[in-house]
Amino acid sequence: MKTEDIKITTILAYITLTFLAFLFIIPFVWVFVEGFASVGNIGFGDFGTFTLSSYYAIFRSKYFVLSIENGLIQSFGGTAVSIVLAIFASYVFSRKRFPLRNALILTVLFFTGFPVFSLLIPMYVFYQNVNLYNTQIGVILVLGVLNLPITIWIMKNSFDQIPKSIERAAMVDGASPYQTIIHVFLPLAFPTIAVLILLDFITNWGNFYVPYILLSSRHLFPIAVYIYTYFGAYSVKYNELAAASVIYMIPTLILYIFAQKYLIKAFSVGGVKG
Amino acid sequence: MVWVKLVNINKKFSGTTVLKDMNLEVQDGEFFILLGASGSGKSTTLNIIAGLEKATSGDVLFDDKIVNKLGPVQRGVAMVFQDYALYPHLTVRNNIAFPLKMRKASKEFIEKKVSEVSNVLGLEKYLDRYPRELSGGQAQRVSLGRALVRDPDVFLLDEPLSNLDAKIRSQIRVELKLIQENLGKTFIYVTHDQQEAMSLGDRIAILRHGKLEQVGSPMEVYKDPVNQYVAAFLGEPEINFFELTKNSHMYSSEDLILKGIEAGDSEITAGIRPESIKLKKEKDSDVEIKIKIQTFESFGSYSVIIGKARSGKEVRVRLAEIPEIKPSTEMAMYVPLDEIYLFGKDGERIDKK
Repeated sequence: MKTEDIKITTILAYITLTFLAFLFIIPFVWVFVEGFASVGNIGFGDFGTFTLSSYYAIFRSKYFVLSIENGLIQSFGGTAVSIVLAIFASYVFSRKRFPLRNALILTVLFFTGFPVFSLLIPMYVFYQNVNLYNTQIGVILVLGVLNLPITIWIMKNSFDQIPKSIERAAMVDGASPYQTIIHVFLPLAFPTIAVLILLDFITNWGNFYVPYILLSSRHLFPIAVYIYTYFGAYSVKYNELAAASVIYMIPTLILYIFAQKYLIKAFSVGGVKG
Repeated sequence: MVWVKLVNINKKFSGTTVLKDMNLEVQDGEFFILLGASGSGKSTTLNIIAGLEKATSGDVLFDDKIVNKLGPVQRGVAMVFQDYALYPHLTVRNNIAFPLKMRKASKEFIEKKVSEVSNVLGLEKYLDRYPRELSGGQAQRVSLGRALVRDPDVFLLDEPLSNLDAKIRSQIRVELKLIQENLGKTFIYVTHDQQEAMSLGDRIAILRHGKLEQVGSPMEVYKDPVNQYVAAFLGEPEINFFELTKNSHMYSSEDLILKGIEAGDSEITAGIRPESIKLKKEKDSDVEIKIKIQTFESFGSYSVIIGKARSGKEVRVRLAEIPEIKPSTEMAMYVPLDEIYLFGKDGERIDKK
């Protein structure tokens, strides 16, 4: 009796899990299939014949190719801003003692959960006044700053794990604070930094509102914004939208593959062993 | 040629005084030990000498030159840490080469130096290993190599042997002593282990609560402690103390009677080293103590009797031979009068010769 009970619950579990898996997989399947379809439709009806024409069509558009380029520039640019600034800020927060240090750390923590979209409209007004509106660099700066608090927070925690005596050894060995960061802190915290690069990039790559509000020219739109132009006023070309969506996923997937090794390290070890 | 001098060093950490009016002189080429219990300020003293911490007030001098504002590199010091502090992401070779790389030395020079140092320390086989692949003893050798490679004037060692197991500890202790003798450089060595201090040091400074208690050669501080704390800190097993009160012309307690002693205080403490207590009376002036044997520990070359005096005070006696004794018998034991240390009420030595 007992073994049968277990079997029934196991079967039930598998059914539920399969059902959930389907729920999650369906959009992926649809987007891949629809991208190669000759007939644009919403459901799982008639996909027509297999064709590459939607891919061909989207890549023929100059603005689509530009939007990929813009997306990469803005996302990597924002990531670089966050990481570089966070390295120095985290070093100071982790190793130096100064007045108001705790207050500043708590402020950083507070901003990790701050609803940033509430700042975008004032940002828009400010950008118009300082001529950063509708520029790549303007978007890069905002994206970089948006990710900065959480990046600092995570990086500081990983710097905290580096033993103090190693830092002192570096000092006695003649390394300046700058050299200590480059030769000791960065290599030791590298798994965490690799993961932060990935997380920052993904957040930036998926950020729609910032470029949407701070840019107006079509030739500056990143792919996250450009993809919405497939929703035309009168019709939606679903097969082209699907093809563009597939392209949109690729950079994230590639980065995941590169960062996988560090993801495991960063989340399992956490610290530095002497 | 460098001697190190501390003049009126004070150190405070947010209100608490860690070091108080520290005056210290370390001679050139000396193996100098800073000995103290934890919290005595010995590591802080070392960090101030290294330039890793700044004193609240006072001066650090290297060869008559005030170096208060200089960093560790300008002072020409190298340091070895208790937890080795090796760079985990670098191989042994690169760990040793790190200080030279920071100084932008040439590749050939670095290579020459690293092989030289690894020869001295017997690390040739491990040059391409990472710190995590080393045993404690090897790791501490690498850490020592990283200090040696720079040819510093002063070596600072912060409890370098504390994390090692007993056998390797004594082995590296000998190596350290030999290296210091060969180099003839100044070593300043922090430890809480009195055995290490006695065996390594040319001179020992004993610290307590941020204050210097006594400085001297190992035998000086052992034979001639200035106060009760120093007497208790050195020696294994620990010295026995008896409180005595003045009674007309002599000092006495339940356990022993001292005659013919003049001291100002009416209450004094007598300190008797475990090895001063003998089984036989040798001189008429010898002081008698009756001890009830509880147990004894035999260490092969010597044994330690643990017993109770009349007052119930625990007494340790160290004997070269292993006596035939039965537990819970009472024996009379004797101490030569001139081997008894006397301390006043404030703990200071009062019979100093």
